[in-house]
Amino acid sequence: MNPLFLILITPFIGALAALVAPKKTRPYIFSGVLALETALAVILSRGMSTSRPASIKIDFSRWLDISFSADGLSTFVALVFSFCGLLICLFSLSQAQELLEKKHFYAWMSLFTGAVVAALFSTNLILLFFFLETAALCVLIEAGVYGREELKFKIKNLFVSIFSLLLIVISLVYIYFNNSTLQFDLLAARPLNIFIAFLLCLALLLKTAQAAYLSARGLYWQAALPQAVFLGTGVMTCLSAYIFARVFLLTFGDPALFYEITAWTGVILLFGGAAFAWLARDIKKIIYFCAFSQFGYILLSLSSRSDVSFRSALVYLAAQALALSGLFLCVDRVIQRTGKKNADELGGLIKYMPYTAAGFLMCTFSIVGIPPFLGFWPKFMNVLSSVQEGHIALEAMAVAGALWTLFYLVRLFNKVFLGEAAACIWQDRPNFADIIVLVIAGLCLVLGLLPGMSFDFLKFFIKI
Amino acid sequence: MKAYLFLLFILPIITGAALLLIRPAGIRQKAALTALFAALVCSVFICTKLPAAVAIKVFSDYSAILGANRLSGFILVLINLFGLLITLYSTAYTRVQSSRVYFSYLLALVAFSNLAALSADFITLVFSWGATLAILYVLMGAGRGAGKALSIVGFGDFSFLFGACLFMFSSGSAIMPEGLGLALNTPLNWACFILMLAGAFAKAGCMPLHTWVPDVAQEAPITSMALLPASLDKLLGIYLLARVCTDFFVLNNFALGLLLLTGGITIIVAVMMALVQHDLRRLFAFHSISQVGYMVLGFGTGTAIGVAAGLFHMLNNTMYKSGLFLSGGAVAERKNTFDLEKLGGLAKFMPLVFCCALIFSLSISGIPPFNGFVSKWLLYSSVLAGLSSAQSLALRLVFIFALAAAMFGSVLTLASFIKFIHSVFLGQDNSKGAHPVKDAPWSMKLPLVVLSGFCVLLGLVPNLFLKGVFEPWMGRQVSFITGWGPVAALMALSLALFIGFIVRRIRRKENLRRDSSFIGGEPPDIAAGFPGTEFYKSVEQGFWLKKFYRFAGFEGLDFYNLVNIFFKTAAYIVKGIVVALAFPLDLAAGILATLLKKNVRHKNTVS
Repeated sequence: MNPLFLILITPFIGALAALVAPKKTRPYIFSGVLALETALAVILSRGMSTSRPASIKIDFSRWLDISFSADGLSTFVALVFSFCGLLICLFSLSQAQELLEKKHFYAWMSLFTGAVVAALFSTNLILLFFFLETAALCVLIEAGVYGREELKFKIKNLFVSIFSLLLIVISLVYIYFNNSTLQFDLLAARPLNIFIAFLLCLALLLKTAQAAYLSARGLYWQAALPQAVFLGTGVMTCLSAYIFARVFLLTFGDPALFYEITAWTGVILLFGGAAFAWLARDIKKIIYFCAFSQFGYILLSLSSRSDVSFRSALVYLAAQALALSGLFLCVDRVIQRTGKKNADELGGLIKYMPYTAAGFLMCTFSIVGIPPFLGFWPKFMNVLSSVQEGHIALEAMAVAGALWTLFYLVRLFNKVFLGEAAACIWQDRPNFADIIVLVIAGLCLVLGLLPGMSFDFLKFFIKI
Repeated sequence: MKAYLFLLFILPIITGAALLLIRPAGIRQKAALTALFAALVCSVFICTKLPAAVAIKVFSDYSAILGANRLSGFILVLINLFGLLITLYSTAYTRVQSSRVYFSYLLALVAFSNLAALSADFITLVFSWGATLAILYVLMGAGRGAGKALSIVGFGDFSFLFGACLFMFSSGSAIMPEGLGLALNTPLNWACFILMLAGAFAKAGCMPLHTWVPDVAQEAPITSMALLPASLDKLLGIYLLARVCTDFFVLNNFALGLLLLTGGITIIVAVMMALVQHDLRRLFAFHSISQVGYMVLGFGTGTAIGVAAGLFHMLNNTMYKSGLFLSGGAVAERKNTFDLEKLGGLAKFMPLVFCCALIFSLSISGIPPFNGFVSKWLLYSSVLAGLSSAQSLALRLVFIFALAAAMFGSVLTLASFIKFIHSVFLGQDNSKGAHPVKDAPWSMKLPLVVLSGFCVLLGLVPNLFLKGVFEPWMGRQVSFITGWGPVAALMALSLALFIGFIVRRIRRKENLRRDSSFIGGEPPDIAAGFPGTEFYKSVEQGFWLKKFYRFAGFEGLDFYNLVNIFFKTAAYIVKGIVVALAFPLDLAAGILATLLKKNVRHKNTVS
């Protein structure tokens, strides 16, 4: 059986199963889907060394080629996404009871997973953006956008959705008329109009921002569910980074301007995310904006043309996915225990939640890029190689962005965990959720002390 | 040799990780002491096999190059020695002795500090340099003061990281040069220099990146203060400064003037702040900052003797500064306070601690025959040497300012420590009716004795460092320019004391009138005595000095607050731009929503 076929079909079967299976089994079905996806990604990665990577082709019509192929980049991102998703899922098993009340939650999450995986393994632009739209739609539905009372909010989201869809359609039509194909391998090294590149970039950013923001806001302004937040924010940013790499850097011919666009988009996101994180008071919003800021950092890494930077970008994608998962989970623990999400109303939690505090701190250090945590190596190697190419101003901004990240995350830690206890809660006993957080934090530390494990591991996937 | 170099990093790390699994506190402490002793022996062994270098492949894009020369080998020995002494002290310090994680962090800190000293390439140095930042935060108690330290030292570390990247770009190599550095003749090289300087200053606690030191002093355990700002951070920061000023760059007059000004201002401002402190920890913290100024001054002279003075002062400072913090900790362990107004008369209860504290106080004040005198004398000599060779008038004025600042700083340091000794050990015993104070345990006294012994030894035999370490590393000779050495100065001081003794004996024979005294018609309460904290009240209240203290304490001058204001302003600007860009969408959605609502209401009305 073709592992690629299995990895594509499993989430859709999982979605069906989650619809019909008894309520109590649904969290486990979804966990099983993610575990299976992780295992299949590992199996696919072993095929990277062969000369014929896994692929599937369905002859649908003369004009539309439905084909999927697994290469190093897509397999690596799929592995990162499914592994982090699995950890989040295991963490949330303790909250499964609340989630069971939400209609079709696990079905939508499985469908989202399937859409993301299908997007990763797509071999043409139309499939890629189709599955991206599907993933974004799943997030919108799960965030309860269409159930909201507020009309203005619904209209704004509709505008953004339609506008970004329009941009994508215009771009794809233009590309098809100029090249008579939308296949990645046939578009390789062909030029792309700068204006169309700008439209695609804008559409991608709008789609990502919308899906991520809505998942972070949560259903009817309630505390966001950890899966929804991670999958909506973390995965969308990972997926967008992948699409940037795939479309702009690995497919079309590389006018220097593509790299400039990617770099400056990265800088804007880096500082924009940091600015909003600085001003936010809602603790999950701070982490959401932090995720955007780190997405900008990944784009900045991708914009450098060296192999070292490209590898660093991918390692950082994995590092920030891991560390962001940890941060989201810690924030979720805090909200669950205190019932509060405003940082100004919290404080002194380190006495009651020491494990959560330790996990938060370690994930913060990894995100910021402080050694010996995992986030340091890709950030530093990227700065080093980009400076070697002469991008000094850009990397100065990258370092300034990292410093800003340090300031607001440490401020968040101080406000939430230090000082006088604002709420009277009992001493936390370590439970399974804490173990997951500490596992994530531990991975950030161990992989940082052994950077060869991550950089050389990447060589299985990408022969650079 | 590869094994020994690697062992200095691996052994403390693995032991630290293993300690997390050990429950009994006694076994944890013994294991930590054993590991550090082994590391110390290893570092001494490496010093006998210098120079040494080895490359270790970490991953495909990077191989770490570890190496040791005279200077870095010497730094290694000091790191492990201080680690061992402070660990021994910590076994009796209540706040940390039974902590599950403290000794693990301490070992990790020693491991990364060793790695930093052994680094022969920039990548390894940046990695190990930054790793000490995370450990600094947790050892400082992970409180608000530690958060400030993390932010400021983090700023320094990121600056150093970027500076290192620019240096590698400019020089074309990742290997740290040993001599023949970059000339400061391009903006890029200047940027490298300033960024690396920021890294060294933040770590060492020099102005303007110093404000974390006094804030963290009040929260952190005294052992962490003795370990970090007093010794390891100083060692690493000044080691980096030495490499920057001697190996990485060739300094021109402007750079030298910058260093001299920074050093001079740091000395004066910090010692003035120390003079009016009532909390023992803040007093020591400000002196710690002030002493860094001397080191920076030494490098700013641009002479071999100045570099020797800077490095020697770094060595001496780690000895007496750590000793002072540990003495303060021994006192606080018994009296449960660091407030000078609540201490007093402890000399009779803790005689050995008192003697050691007195030695440290005289050393830091630059009194012969102690080590502080030698390094300060070398410094004055180097400033005079630099002054005589300075070409421009502006540079000469800066040298004169530096000399005046250094000398005046020493005087004020002595004044400040007279206050300390009087407040804590002399004066009235304020424990009225309370249980008599017990002496410190041997595990606290032993490190004090060792450190004070070094203060005396290095004061009497400074050539142990100058001829044994500095001259082989620098390849140049150093001698006291004016012929004054510690022995000559000691003889002169002894003569002065003898003359003073004779004069006092003679004057005692004169008739002195004794009478009773009254205040407001009642006999004064002399039980409280004349507290040391009142010594410099008049200084604090003086017209110009009052303005100075108000200015120095102004929060707007705190680098940390300035950065926060900058980020806040930038955040509001960015938010404003985004809101402005999103305004059309908001407007359109609002109009449409209103129209739709009106339409629905109209339909409802009609139906």
